Amino acid sequence: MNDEYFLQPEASLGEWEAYVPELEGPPGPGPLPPVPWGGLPGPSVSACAGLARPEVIDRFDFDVDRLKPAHHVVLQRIAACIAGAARAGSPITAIRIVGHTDRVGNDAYNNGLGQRRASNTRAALEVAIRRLDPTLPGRIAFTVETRGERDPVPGDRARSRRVQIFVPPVVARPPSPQTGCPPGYTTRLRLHLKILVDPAVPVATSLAVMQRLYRAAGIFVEEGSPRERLRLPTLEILDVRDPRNPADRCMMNGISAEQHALFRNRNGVGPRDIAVYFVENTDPGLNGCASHPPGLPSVVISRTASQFTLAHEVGHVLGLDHVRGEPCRNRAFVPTSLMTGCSTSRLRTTANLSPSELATMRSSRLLVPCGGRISTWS
Amino acid sequence: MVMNASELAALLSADEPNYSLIAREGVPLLPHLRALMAGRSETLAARAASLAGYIDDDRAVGVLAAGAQNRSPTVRAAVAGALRQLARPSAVALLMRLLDDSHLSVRKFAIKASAQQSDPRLQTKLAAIGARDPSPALRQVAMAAIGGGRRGPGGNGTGIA
Repeated sequence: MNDEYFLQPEASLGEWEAYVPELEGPPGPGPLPPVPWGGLPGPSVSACAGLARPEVIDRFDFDVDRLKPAHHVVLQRIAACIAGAARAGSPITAIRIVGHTDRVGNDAYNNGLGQRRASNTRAALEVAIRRLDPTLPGRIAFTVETRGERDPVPGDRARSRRVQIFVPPVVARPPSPQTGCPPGYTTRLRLHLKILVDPAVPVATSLAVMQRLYRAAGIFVEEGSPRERLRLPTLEILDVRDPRNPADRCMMNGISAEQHALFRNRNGVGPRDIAVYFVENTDPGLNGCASHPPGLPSVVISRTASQFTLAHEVGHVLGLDHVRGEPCRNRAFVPTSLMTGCSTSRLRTTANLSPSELATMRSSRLLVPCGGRISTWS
Repeated sequence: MVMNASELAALLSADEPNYSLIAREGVPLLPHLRALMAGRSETLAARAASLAGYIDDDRAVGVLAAGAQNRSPTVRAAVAGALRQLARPSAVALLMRLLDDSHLSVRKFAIKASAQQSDPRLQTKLAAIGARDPSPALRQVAMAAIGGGRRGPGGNGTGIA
């Protein structure tokens, strides 16, 4: 085995805040430093760590109150933070949104324009939050204001045409690594996210979707360790063909040598935890693959996977199979189950799990009762 | 009834496409696969290449040769991966080209595919890669491929273990 397939963890310890920007940015220079267990904020709250205070969407077109596509990207990031914080038991209950204009035009007109920009931003943010948790917007007090032209960005008219979104700092709960869950859960499931290639859908979004869906089974999904960036270029497009028969792929009884090599990178992953590896693609091409050697629960997620793929693949690890008999070749068909055998990108936010699927998940030996002690942490 | 392009794209878009099942439609799929490989979706293009590998016909090699021109290394890697399964003598020239690809993943799968072939030109090429590839891991893969010779079902086929 070549050493290129393994990463040696660095010995130094880092701060959560210190590595989040690197994680969200372009591929970094190597493994992120491990963080001692017990010192992390709640895992879902991590989606908030990269937010600016306040977040700003700017460069609105002149005399236009409509949001641009780039603005929606920022709002999705904020929504992921808000949804994640709620699931981690640290809900954000108030958000202040302030609209601004440049100095062209009169005060009264610009006050109205700033107000409309702020109102449109609120509406778009509510939509983004609702996609992750339909009930959440109703639990947040939005304040919408205008400052008109009173607070321009000096010397920059385009950047003056902006909206500020004030999301209060999230008070991270202690992670309670050994016992306990937030109210409403009966078991917990730990994931360890290891990133070879940044996915197109933000990790925080996939995680929020999974947390929402798994809540129906009473399963509290959490990150068990800091996200780790793996530099394994040879495995970025991962061979998942059965070595005995290349026509078969992603088989539980046909794990490829490359899967074995990748899954040996388990820094911090306990025996009952699931390691999630984000890669560029698999060969043959799959959105994800849940096959793994016995005793090493793992899934692989491709870069262009949907926001549901993480929850779907972990569902396989927990014992779920695909729904059968769906008319997948009909592009108009909209599946309703997370475990669809069609594309999960067709799923709507109302996607769910059946009672029998929920029962199967609950019986997984990987779940830890909320009242139990996790004694297998490594 | 033969599957149309839209239906094929829908099936290939599944999170885990059932390539073996789709490939039962055989050679009539090839024009659709060629079109998908030239299309705007990198994901569908790569999956079309993977599927072509399941169609055991020289015309599938021709479709993959077109896909090997794709700008996306992900698509070219899928072409190389498909040739592991489509181990036809007509694929040798294409493999020779893919072994020279600038992208590591493309070369990796081309090496694995070459291990399925017994053509002496490929063996010579693999020896050169084993000696000179910039990636130590790929050098090892290439050397293992030479050592393993032609691998059929039951072989490791990866050189990584």
